[in-house]
Amino acid sequence: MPRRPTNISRIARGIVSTIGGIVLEVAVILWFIVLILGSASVALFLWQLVG
Amino acid sequence: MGLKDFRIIIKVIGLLLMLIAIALLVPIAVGLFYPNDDVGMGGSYQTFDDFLFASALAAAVGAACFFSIRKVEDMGIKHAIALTVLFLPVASLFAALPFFSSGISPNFLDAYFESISGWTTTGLTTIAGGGHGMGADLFPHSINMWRHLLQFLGGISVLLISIIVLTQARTGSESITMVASEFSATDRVRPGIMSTAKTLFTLMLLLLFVSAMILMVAGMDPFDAVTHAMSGLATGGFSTHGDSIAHYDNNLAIEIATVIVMIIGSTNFAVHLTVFSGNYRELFKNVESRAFLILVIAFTIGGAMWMSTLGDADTNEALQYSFYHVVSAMTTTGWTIVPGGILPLFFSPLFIFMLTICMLVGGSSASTSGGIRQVRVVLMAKSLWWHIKKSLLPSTIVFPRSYHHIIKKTVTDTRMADIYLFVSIYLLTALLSSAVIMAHSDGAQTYSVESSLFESASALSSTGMSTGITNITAPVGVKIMLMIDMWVGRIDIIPVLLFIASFSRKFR
Repeated sequence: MPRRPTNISRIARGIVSTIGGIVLEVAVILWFIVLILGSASVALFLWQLVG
Repeated sequence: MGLKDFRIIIKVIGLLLMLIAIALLVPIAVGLFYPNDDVGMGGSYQTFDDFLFASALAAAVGAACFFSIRKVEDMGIKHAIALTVLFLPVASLFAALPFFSSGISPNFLDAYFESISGWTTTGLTTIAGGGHGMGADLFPHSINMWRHLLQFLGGISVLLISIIVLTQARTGSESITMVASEFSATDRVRPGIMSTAKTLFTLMLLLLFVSAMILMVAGMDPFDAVTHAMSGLATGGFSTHGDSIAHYDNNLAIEIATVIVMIIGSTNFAVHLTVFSGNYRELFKNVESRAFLILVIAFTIGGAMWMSTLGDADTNEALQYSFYHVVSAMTTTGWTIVPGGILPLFFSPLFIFMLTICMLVGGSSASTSGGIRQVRVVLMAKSLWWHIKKSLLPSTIVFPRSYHHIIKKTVTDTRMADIYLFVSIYLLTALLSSAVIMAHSDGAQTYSVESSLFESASALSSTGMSTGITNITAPVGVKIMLMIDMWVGRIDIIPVLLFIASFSRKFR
């Protein structure tokens, strides 16, 4: 019979997933920023090439 | 609404006032922490009694309201709506007291303006702006803490209002209920009010801690980091400096850190919870994060192109200014990196107009940001595509009309109609209030079309960017109009109309 998770392991898992969530969110936002600035600078470069 | 109906509203407002009385004690603690606050108009020993007085008054009035009313009927839909509408102006009245009594604000109207701007997480200010070394730079720490705490509490209360009250009030306009119920898609948020409130509060505190850490790592001092985390997370836009984020002299780390905080604040809180419960893909699949990404890219490119070719900024500068202000407007935060904070001195009318559109679009539903909200904008765009499909495909073909938000959701015609109703009322309000602002032009001061529209969109969407119209010398009419904009915009306008209509004999 599998043991039921104890309170401590539940709390630990909660903490790990929360920290993971935060780190991931910040990473994704940074990735968004890179994506935005990257595509914007490419567009600007092309724009200046044309003009 | 009869007089009888007001009993429960007064009782609940009494309870909330007592909570505000507790919150008013926080700045006292901060003031004690900075005993040498001899900057500006008053030291901490002076604001000590201001906050104590305001707290005591709020507690006394709150207790009187709460305990004097014993017999109340059950909370109905119209009570919930009335509470939503009335809470903000009443709470702001007490929150404004310290600004006035400490002498920070020369008259009560400006203190009230500051307080409403705080509660609604707008960030427009008549007393705290003014450029480098002015305004908020001169305030004692306790006052600055109270301004930012106000925004933080405003952010939490608007989340609670939009998620609990408007979800329960099913008869409210369906488009509002829909935005509010975006939150209930996760099973983590249970329908119970207390547990929802607890989950939200914990999440906000956690995010506050994370945001403060990010800002501190970027180079802010601890007090600035905490206060800016409060206002950024609430997408409020107050700052402890008279020239907002421009105070940091284009420090790239701080600019990126503030952008992260703004985006965290304007993300749907149901998405936050989904990510924290392990579903990481949601961030990429969610209809609103995708919309945010696409819109920010489009507006950043547009703004930067204009600045770099027709303006005299170089490419990097154009990109930096365009990106920062587009994010700040789209998340409805309102921080700026323009010295002095008066945008038309630096930007062309075209970019100002683009920012107006960004502000009107706003952030995600069920977040602390304002505006029309991205989910509605996406659905409007999709509905055009659906209309084309319906018209050109054979009538026997049935296609799904759905979007992805945590789960796949389908859209009905009534829902679309409500969205269009909301958006037209929203835009009409923006136009009408900008007309009122324009009407205050006189020989000394003229209010142009684009700056009036910008300012009223800024107040309505709770952004707080300014073209300079909002200042201490502005006519009283303009200030009152902007206050009404902030108030009705924060609670999505329709509850105000419902509240007024509920007095009609037809709905008794």
